[in-house]
Amino acid sequence: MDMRIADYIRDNRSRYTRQALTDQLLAAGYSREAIDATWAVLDTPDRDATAGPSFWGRFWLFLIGVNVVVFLGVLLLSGMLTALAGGGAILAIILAVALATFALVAWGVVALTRPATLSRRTALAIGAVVPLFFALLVGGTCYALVGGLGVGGPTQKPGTIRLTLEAPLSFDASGSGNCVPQPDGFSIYSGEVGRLDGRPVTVSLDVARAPEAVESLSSNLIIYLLSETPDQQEVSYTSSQATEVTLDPNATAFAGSLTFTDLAPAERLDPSSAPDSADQPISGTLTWKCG
Amino acid sequence: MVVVLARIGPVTVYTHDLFTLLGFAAGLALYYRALRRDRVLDSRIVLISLAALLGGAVGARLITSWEILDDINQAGLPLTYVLTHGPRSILGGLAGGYLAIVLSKRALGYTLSTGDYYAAAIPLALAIGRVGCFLSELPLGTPTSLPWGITVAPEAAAAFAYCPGCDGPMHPSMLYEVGFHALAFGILVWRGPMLPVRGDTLKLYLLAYGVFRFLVEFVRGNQVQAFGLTGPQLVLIPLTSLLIAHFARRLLTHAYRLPMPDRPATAPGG
Repeated sequence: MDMRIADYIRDNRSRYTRQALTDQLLAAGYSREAIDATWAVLDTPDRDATAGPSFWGRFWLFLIGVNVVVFLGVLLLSGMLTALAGGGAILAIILAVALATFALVAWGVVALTRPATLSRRTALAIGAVVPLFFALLVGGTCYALVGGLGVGGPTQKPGTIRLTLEAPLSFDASGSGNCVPQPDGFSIYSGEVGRLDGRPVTVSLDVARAPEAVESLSSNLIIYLLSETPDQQEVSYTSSQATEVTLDPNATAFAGSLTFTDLAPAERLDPSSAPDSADQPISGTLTWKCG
Repeated sequence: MVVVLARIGPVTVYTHDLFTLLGFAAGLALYYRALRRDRVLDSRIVLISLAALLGGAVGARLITSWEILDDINQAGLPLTYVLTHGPRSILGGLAGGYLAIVLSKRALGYTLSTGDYYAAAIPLALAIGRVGCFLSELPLGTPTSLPWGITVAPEAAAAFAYCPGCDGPMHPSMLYEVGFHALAFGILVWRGPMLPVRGDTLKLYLLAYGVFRFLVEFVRGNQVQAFGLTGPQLVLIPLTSLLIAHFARRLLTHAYRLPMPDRPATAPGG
């Protein structure tokens, strides 16, 4: 190793690129072989400090272990484990496939770094963080998608939502939606159930109640009239203190109806624009049937 | 438009999210491979990478938060809504990731510049991710009569609340970006670091992307916010100004003149 080359590289490698330093050394008259040999010596890791081939055995144990833990954790927290007969088995299989796929991705990323030739600490950091990151990403995403199923509870189901509004809006249409049972009630979300004045209409309903008493229910109903052009205002109607919601006594998360009166319009985004029929409270009926 | 790539029972695989994930994985793999090749992979790099991811995720939401603050206040939502549900911006992601890297390196005492190792990984990731945008977002761009304008089906356009040019051919602005990033990736892989100072190749790419993105925004179809400029354009002005100032300082201080090494010793008698 040429000490003059080595000193030059050590003094400047933190600021300048390898190629720039090499080009400068070549311009100074040093041979390519001498320069490359010096780089190789300076870059050679200490063999006694590398992770070695035994890294892979520990890595596979960790990779499998972390994915099994995440898999079981998501199954428990999401309620899939107790709802295997109710569709949870399919979700569990999907989760397992997703975890396995991204475990392979994690292995690929780690393999590209050739960790067996790195220092033990570096190899440990890469071998631990990359699989953990992907496992948590997949597990967290699945948990967020599935949500809390509840112990033995059914999953959400798609269905049809029908909304009827009384004058002055006079609207009666239906569209697709989802019924989502919750531990203490249920939620109904629709896609576009129809159009009013050319604007898409969507509905969102959340009901929370004590299982034995229909009277003690609290609900939050929101109806949106979305805007499609810059000159249209998005309008929403939400439950207020004046709103009365009457839920059908036989209503469940998957089928039922309710009537509402005095659903209040939200504050206008542009108070200076001309008032129209969208400024008045509305009344009507909401019906849902899912599954 | 292919907003949803697949539905497997109650699980929905969104096109945009999948391509984002694929782009991220590809960029990460390339980044670590480059570090490994030059034997500068260090355990602290892993922590710095995590900081970059977190900073990028936060920055992507924060930089667009001002566009929806009024809506959030009116809806009575908490301010954290901008982080969990707000719109995202690649520019914010890059800025947030960059800031996170600077701060984490100082915190860990890591002094070596590793920016150039991101220089090829970032355009690779963005090129892949933008394909997802092209497949799932509208409008594609402003209306155009150019022969490569793309028209979408009315049913697809109806699914988007804001799509002013969707009734005719539109600039495929996302494809322009895919082309830019693919070209940048090709040049950086073929050429390697283009400037002698570590980290400046990445900054050069960011400056080039900033200028390109500013111009593409005129045909992107985003809503104009102020002074006839869109939100990304307004953000790009200070960001690219910082990069221009950086290179100006480099040139003024002759930073690209490397010190000369000592000449090799001549052979005895020569």
